[in-house]
Amino acid sequence: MLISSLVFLGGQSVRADQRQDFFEAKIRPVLIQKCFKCHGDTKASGGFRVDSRERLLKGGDSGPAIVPGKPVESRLIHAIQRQGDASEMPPEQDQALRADEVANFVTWIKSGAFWPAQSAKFESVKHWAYEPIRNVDPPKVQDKAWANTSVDPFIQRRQEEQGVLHAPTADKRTLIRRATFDLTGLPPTPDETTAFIQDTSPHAFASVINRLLKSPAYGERWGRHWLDVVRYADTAGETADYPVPLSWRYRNYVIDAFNSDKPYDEFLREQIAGDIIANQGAENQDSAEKYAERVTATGYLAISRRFGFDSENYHHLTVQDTIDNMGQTMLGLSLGCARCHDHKFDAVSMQDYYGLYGIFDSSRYPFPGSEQKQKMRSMASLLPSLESKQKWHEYEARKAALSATLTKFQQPIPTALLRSLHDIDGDIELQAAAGGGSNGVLVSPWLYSGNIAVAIAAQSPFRNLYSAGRVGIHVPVGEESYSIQQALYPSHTIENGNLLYVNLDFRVTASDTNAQGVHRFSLGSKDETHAAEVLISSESVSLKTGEAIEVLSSIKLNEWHNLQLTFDLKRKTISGKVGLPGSVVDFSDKPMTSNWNGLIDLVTFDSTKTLGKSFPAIDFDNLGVQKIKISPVTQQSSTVVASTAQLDPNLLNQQLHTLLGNDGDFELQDKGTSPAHPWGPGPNSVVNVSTQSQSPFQNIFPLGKLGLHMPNRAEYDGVVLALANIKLAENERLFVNFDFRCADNQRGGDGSWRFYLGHGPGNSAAIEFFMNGKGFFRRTANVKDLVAPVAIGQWYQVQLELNLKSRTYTGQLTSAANQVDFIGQFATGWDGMIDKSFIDSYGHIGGVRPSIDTDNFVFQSTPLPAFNAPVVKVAEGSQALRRTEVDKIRQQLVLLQSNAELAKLELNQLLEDGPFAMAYAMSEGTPHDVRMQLRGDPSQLGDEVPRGFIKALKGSSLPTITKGSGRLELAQWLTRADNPLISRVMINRVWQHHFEHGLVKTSNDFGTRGLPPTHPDLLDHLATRFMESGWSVKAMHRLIMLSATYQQASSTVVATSPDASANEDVTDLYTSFPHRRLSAEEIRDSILAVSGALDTTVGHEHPFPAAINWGFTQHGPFLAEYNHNKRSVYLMTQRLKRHSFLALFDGADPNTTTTERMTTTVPTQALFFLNSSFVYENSAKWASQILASKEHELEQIELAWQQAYLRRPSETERAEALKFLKAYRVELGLVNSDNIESRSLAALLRTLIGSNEFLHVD
Amino acid sequence: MKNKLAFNPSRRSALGSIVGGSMLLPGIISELLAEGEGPASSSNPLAVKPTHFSPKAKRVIFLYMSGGVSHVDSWDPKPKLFADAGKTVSVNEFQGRKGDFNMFLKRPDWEFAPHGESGTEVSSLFPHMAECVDDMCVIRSMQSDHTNHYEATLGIHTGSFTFARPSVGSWISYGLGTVNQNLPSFVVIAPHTPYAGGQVWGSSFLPGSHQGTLVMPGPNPVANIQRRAASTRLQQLELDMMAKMNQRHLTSHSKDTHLASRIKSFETAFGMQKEIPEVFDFSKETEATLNMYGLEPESTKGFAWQCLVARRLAERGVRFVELIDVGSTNNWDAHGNMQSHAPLAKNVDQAIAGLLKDLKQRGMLDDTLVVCTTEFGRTPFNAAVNAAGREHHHWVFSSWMAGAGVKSGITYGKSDEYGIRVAQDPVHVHDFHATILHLMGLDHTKLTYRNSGRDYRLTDVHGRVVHEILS
Repeated sequence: MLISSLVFLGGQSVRADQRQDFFEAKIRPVLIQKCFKCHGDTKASGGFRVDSRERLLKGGDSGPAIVPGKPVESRLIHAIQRQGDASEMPPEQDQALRADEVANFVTWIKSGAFWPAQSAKFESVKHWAYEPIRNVDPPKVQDKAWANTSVDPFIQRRQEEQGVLHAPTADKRTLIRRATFDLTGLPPTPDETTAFIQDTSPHAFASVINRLLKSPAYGERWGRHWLDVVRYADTAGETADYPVPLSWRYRNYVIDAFNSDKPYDEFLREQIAGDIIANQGAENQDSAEKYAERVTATGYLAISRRFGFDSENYHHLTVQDTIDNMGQTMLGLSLGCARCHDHKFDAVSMQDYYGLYGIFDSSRYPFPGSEQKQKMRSMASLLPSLESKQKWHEYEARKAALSATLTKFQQPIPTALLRSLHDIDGDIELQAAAGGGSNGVLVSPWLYSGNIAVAIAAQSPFRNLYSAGRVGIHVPVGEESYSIQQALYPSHTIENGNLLYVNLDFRVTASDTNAQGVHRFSLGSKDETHAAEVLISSESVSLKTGEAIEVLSSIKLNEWHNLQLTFDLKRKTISGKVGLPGSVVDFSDKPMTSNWNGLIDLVTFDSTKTLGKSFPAIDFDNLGVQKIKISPVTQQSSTVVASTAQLDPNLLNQQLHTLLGNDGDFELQDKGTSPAHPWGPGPNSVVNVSTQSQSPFQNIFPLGKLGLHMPNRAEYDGVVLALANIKLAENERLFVNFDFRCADNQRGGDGSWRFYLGHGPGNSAAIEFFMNGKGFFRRTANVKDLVAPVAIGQWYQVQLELNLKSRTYTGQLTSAANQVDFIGQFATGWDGMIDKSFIDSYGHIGGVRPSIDTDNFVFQSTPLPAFNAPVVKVAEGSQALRRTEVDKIRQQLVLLQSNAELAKLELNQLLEDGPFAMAYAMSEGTPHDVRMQLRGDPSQLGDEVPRGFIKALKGSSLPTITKGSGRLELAQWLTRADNPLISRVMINRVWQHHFEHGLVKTSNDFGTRGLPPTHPDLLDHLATRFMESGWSVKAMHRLIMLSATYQQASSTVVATSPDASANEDVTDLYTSFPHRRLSAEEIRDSILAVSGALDTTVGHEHPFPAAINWGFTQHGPFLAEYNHNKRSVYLMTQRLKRHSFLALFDGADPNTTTTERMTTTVPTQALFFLNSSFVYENSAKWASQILASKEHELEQIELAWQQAYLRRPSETERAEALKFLKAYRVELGLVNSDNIESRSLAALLRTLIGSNEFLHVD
Repeated sequence: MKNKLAFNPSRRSALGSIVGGSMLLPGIISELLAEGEGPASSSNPLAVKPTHFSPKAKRVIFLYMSGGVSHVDSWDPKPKLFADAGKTVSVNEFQGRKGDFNMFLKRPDWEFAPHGESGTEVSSLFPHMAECVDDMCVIRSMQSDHTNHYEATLGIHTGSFTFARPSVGSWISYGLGTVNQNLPSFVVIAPHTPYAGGQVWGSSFLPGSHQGTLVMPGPNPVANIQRRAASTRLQQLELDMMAKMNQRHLTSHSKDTHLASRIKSFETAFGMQKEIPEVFDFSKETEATLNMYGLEPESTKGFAWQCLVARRLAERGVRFVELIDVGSTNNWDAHGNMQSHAPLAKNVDQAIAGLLKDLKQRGMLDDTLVVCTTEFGRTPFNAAVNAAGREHHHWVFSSWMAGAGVKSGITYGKSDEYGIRVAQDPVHVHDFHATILHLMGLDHTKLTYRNSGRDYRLTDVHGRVVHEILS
């Protein structure tokens, strides 16, 4: 019965794997798709699950679901047939199984309901790709004359079996064109072609291949194939598509790796774990270039896509993207499905998936910036860690010095851009507090659990180690089961120095006296041997080493404390100090924990969980663990400002202020200039110190020579005075004086000036007065009204007495003619602060206003001399003396100001450059295992799984991850000799890029859902030879390209053997060489090459906007195209918006792996050849080159054909071309064109560029 | 016959009409005709393909309002929200953050009234569209998966909220091909880049010919469409020269079907240079038509221009036309003040109503599906009692469909009393897509594409055809 029911599977006898194939192809997918949602491991509707044979046999609440051999008695069949008394399944009508699907279930149950393993979680599957690679010798063939290399007999054997003939050998012109495009992506030159045709030696083609393999263009072509698969891009792909300026280093690493024929296994190892290998190499004195190269290689992992608004909140998707791509690129396996469930078809379990996930989650990805956190950071250093650490400290010191200079001038300091790794995130500044799209929790490099937060309030005031930051870590009251960890990489041992310095700031806040819980800060190793533990309670700080606990100092609640530890690793002792500035307790020579294992590679913050104790809140900040000594605690920046140390701008400003007061009579200002300190013109002001503006009144100041003049204009900002030292105690009064006149009203208009006093500008005015050519107005509360009319040209004095407590004022407006008294109330919006006064054009009446002169401003807390008080006299000499002194200070301030400007420039440059050369690459993070994410949802966590590999592919043994993330072990495990996939997958790609399709056509899927190889023996033969060659890709090119198979004439020009079965897919038999269209890059590069415009120099970074100016958002994402004439592999490619040219001609999708370029034919491509500026410009260049070298028309045509097609034009073509040129010239004449000769030749060349012969390879 | 369309969507006659118009190489075209039979023609990825079952609609006009239109201010009347404005409600999530939040109900800025014979209630935000309710099925129970623009925009276009996947227009182009080989099968008219950029009309892993061709309103709507040669005659000389060379090349490469279709593509391109400008040339449109759309003569600005172009593309057989009203800025994202909806509504209201009326009077509404949606709605509540705007709201929002195969003058689905959650008959984005495909004669579970070892669908593993709204 079994046999008869399964004959349709195609075999005459039934083997177990046929039953299995049937199950995997027809039954399991349907169970998963239609039934698992309700009857899977997370939900068992009706008490019933379909994920194992046992469960089906057992059934649910209504009894067994299947009876093997008896479909009629199986309730499952009733349900899916939607007949009988069983519930219709699936319940949704439109989900009902098709008739053929139901029939498959009937067949399956009839044949015994075979289930591949005893459970759903099967760990090994027999599938050709997982079997060891066989060293297969070439088979025997009938026609022994054809084969050139060991490749051929495999191909020939199948051709002979099928009775088809191979094609004749291609002609030499075709061969060199084919080989040159295949290996370099460029056309050969006419000279190269001639040389090959004339070389009659048997090794002529081999020499061509060798020449091409040595050309740098080879790596640019084959590197591009790799970049396709690894979805290379120059942007991150999150919602704002942030640029990744350092991405190019990985791109060039790939190109260089192909050019240097880097052994493929090493190539893979470096991309997975290059940074770790580099550090091992650094210990072995490998070269600096080698170090940088290996670190750069991990750009492969770093370029994983980023997602979302705050991409760190979507990091699980990035890790998923990494695993997906690694599976497809390196193993030819779709691992992605196992994120949510055990792989339906392949032998990958969720356990395996999250084992790999843990490895990448324990690694640090560089951060490219995102809408939420616009600065990039965590780039990898291209210097060995100790060296980079030194440079990092120099960089930080320089940055702090420059920042300090800027701080002194109260200028904004650009935030740090690039944080390299190898340095802990000790000042927590890499973390974002809650807000926007951020959750305010710690992200990589930290690991945490429990209710902790990144908080602005938890910023320590101390600056002995880091410059002032913004945030720290806050652990709230009562939180006892938290843990915060960070791995130190590389680890600290006696080998890399005796002394280790540690710094930590902390503050305990307790809301009640019963908060007796003890927090702990510990350093040590991952296997839980602490070097030392620091215990912090609400009363004291203690040191615990082993069982011994010693109180170091008492502490003060709510006060920040600084703790410093110095570990003497050789002597195994600890010294240090703890306390507040000015009150520090020293201690020395405490023993380290006796069973410490010699390694410090982990810091941990947690609590000593004590039953019944309530825990005080605690803040942590400024953790430093370094080999460099740490300065004593201070609230001042540790770094001295070098160039301006002798001058203190704050001091100078203070001196200036004392000398000038408010400079209310303007006598210390310079005539004809904008008023200087303490006055300042507004940004759009025309304000001058003028002799015509001297007030005639002498009751306040002696009669001087200068006042302020503002011309009559419609609107501009006036002049501002920052008021210092005005005390606003509630009972205080403030006395104010100013003189003014509206000088002329020649331009007409009633616009008014405003006199303002308050905490402004903005709404919080205390008082406002308005003057125009007609009146003086006051504001009382929120009402504006006229105080008195004024006359043009007349000087007035305004005196005010402000009562800050009652928020009222009294005033007098006095002129030579009369005096008006007035009273008023402060504006209701006043916020209690007065620090600014200004006169500006935002008066209560708009429009053109009169010019105005003002003078004699006074703001003081004592009463003023009355209008009619005696004249004040100038003290002899004192004015000149003050003036000299003021000038001197002003010069010094200008000098400092320019230093600040220089500091800003230098700081920007420093931030752009970073401390050392960096790459967008990986580093080690904090090693940890992860919990499975149920249904791929990171908020629903299942069991924790140890970091590990894919069990079904385990080979001889699975390595154990002993330290670090596990990437090194992963790299070694992947590239081990007995991994059957790595070699097969890569050799298949090499084959694919020579023959259009791989031997396995699904080159990213060697799993059970992929297609089997057309020539399995050849695949294994090549895979063996690949490994034997030392994983040399170039050796494989030689093997393949020297074969007779490769050198056959093209498919489209040869008829296949007439006996060939009509249904046989001849492409699988390699009876000719597949004809193909050029790829997007080849099209562009070829046009540039024939036009003589191609710039063959290596491309480096792209001209991105300076990173310190970045602020891309999803509303305004990064968008750019940068054009150049270098090879297309160097074009900047974005993820959100595809490059217009590359997208038009089926370029790679930079969002996801591209295994095979498609060849679409759409009219918009034709429009490109007809009308694009690119084709027009390059055809014009080409034409001018031809015209410059060849005089006669026929010679020009000859040369064009040689360059475009590497052949002479035929008689017909020559005639057609001549005819075309003639006709084109006539038509150009009709439209009165210029440069008729070059334009017509360019038109002819365009037709060559657009022709099929130019754009296709035979 | 009411339908005055110039084409007949059977493949042979479609190709035949192309042959008729071929200036250059009738011989090649006849070869094309001979080999191009069958749905999997390798030479022409846009060849007409059979549907899974008899379709109601032959083409789609997809109107997309960018930024999130407030459902409670437009299509979903909530009297209780007017009545209880200022009162608080408790929600367990706010803008993607979990937790318990007390929120203040906000009164809609526009009053609702019943319209047409159906009496479907629409707010005064859309007075012109309100006149068309008898032709519409308003869905008041739409659901999306994400609260952020980028993801929700990607979702309503591709069914995937995270990864770039083929757009709905690309799927339809892939599933059905196109009847006018002189025009792309899928055209997107957008004045600015939307959220998620070109991924919104990208073909992802589907062949590139199915990606949307972007038309930017303005002087140069399609890249390289403007003839650069100084005269048509000059260009014809070039084409003729190229055709001769290609024909000779083809004789020696007769087995590569792609070469023939490439020759054909130059003819199409040549045709497009004429046809595309014709699409944008409104000189033959009557004043009455322009008035119906509210289009100023000579103006290429605004949604009215886009809508009229959409009708002209639909007339010429373009399979899927998407119109995006604005881009990723200055759009319906009214966090600050709901009144910013007013000018955006003014931009689209009369234009869309005009489009519906125009399609109807030409008989085209019988086989054209018009869909209007946004990426999500806006919160009926706010964190502050006096907030003037509304936040993102993907739990429920409103869309509508009109035309071929859709019941007219009905509403489907209900939100709860305040418009916070779906109360009845949810229509998830996947269901929405399944229904559109269904109306085009495609079974969303069968329209698949094998990529990286997996069969992909527009609706992933979800989607239910909303049979209740089908006529």
